Amino acid sequence: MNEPGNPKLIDDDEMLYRQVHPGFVRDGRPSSQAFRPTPKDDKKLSVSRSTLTTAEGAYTLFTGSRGLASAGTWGVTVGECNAQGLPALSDPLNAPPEPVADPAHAVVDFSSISKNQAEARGARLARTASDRGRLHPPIAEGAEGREPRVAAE
Amino acid sequence: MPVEALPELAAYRDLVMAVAKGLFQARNPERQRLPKGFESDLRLVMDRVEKGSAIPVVSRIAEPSMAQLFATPSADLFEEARALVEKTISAGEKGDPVPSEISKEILARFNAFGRTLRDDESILVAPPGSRDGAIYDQTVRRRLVLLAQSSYEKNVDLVGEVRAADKDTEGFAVRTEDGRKVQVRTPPLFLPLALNSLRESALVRVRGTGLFDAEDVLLRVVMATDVSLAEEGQGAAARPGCATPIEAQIGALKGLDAGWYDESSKAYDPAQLDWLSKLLKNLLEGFQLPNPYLYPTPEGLARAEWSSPTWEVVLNVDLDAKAADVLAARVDSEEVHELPVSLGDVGAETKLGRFLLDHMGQSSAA
Repeated sequence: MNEPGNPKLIDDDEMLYRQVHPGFVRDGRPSSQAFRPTPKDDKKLSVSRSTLTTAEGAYTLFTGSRGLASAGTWGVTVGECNAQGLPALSDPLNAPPEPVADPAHAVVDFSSISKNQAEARGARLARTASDRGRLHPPIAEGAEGREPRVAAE
Repeated sequence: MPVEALPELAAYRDLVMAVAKGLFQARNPERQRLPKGFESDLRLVMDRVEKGSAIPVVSRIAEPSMAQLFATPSADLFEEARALVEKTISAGEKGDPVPSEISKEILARFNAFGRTLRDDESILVAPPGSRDGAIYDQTVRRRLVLLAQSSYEKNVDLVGEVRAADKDTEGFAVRTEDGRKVQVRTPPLFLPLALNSLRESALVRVRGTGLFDAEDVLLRVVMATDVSLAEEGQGAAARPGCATPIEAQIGALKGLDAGWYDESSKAYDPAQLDWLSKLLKNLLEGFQLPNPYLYPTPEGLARAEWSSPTWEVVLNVDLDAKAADVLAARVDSEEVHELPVSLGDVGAETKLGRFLLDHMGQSSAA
């Protein structure tokens, strides 16, 4: 897992893919507990970087090579995590020691906040991810670019 | 030219003017007054809309007098002031320190600039003829203003029911759809409508300038610019509840085997889930709440979640201890409300139901 000094992700637009356990999805809505670490996660939420993999690639690695259960890939951006005061850190996994290498692995760092703050911020991230929709499958619409309303010279 | 952009033109001019005055005073400490015609030398216009977009461009009408006043053509305080405003915004974007020439009084002036920007809008402040500059949006604006003071202002547009009105103070209190009570100061023109709303329990729409704290919590409406009867559908923006009935969701939890999540996760006790089903039905019927989404947790809790227009609500129920922790996180600020409940206590269900209702707004139809 992440070692101190791993680089912080700085591209606010980079999507972070999150695999959601089938038990955490009800009527297509992911539970907010899927967007904050469980007590076993050492306050780090595992995600995959869109600059190094795809929503489908992350899902395939998770369910295929790693043999874990996922109802699909949802996503939040680095900027959306930063807006909640949650830095995202690069955390590539090497094999060995990990059973399966994952160069796109990253973590969202919840270590500086309390349990209830993690619950609240995870809930906001889950809402953002849920509004965006499941990214694999099916493919969701892309985010629209922003244009300035006024240009002042 | 969009009429709503005009206040920003005036606010931007005032900001650049204030910076220019500060520069002049710093460089001419012996002078008690500004040169005659100083203010009239800065004239801004919206002179065109850029091709291929709907972006209006604000430009300065050049006047020669300032350049003549300061001997060299490059000594244009207004261009320096504009560049300082751009640098300040850029610092706000990056979280860097603002330029030393920018005082707290100047930072406070950012309160007036960008107040009408919606969350998906921004203003580009760039050198003449360039599109390479600093992007000013609500996040940057808030950050800059909060460097100078503990609260900031932005436009509000809210719907609610008038709960009290005071002719003497020219104000009223409105209870919004998310359950908060907000004090509103208003011109006398709008008071009759507020009083009528109070009598009839009719919903009103209030637009104006809101004062927010550093956590984005609306403290009060410092001045309403419009108060009108709410249109049908306003105040009831629904995020529907879960379409699957509670019984079916409870049934799904009963169907989970031990090890459903990992080797330590246990199966649920059916009798405890029946107790939960009864509790939830009582709450939903008693307080007219939308259906929650029900989930298991690896720790063996039952978890109910609701998404209301402005809150995410999470209820974790410890089925062994018959206790619950409920948390409501406001989605557009850092505001969080929490309530631990021992469900065996007298009045505990009512307390929990009220908390849930207060955070559901008026979207109570499942």
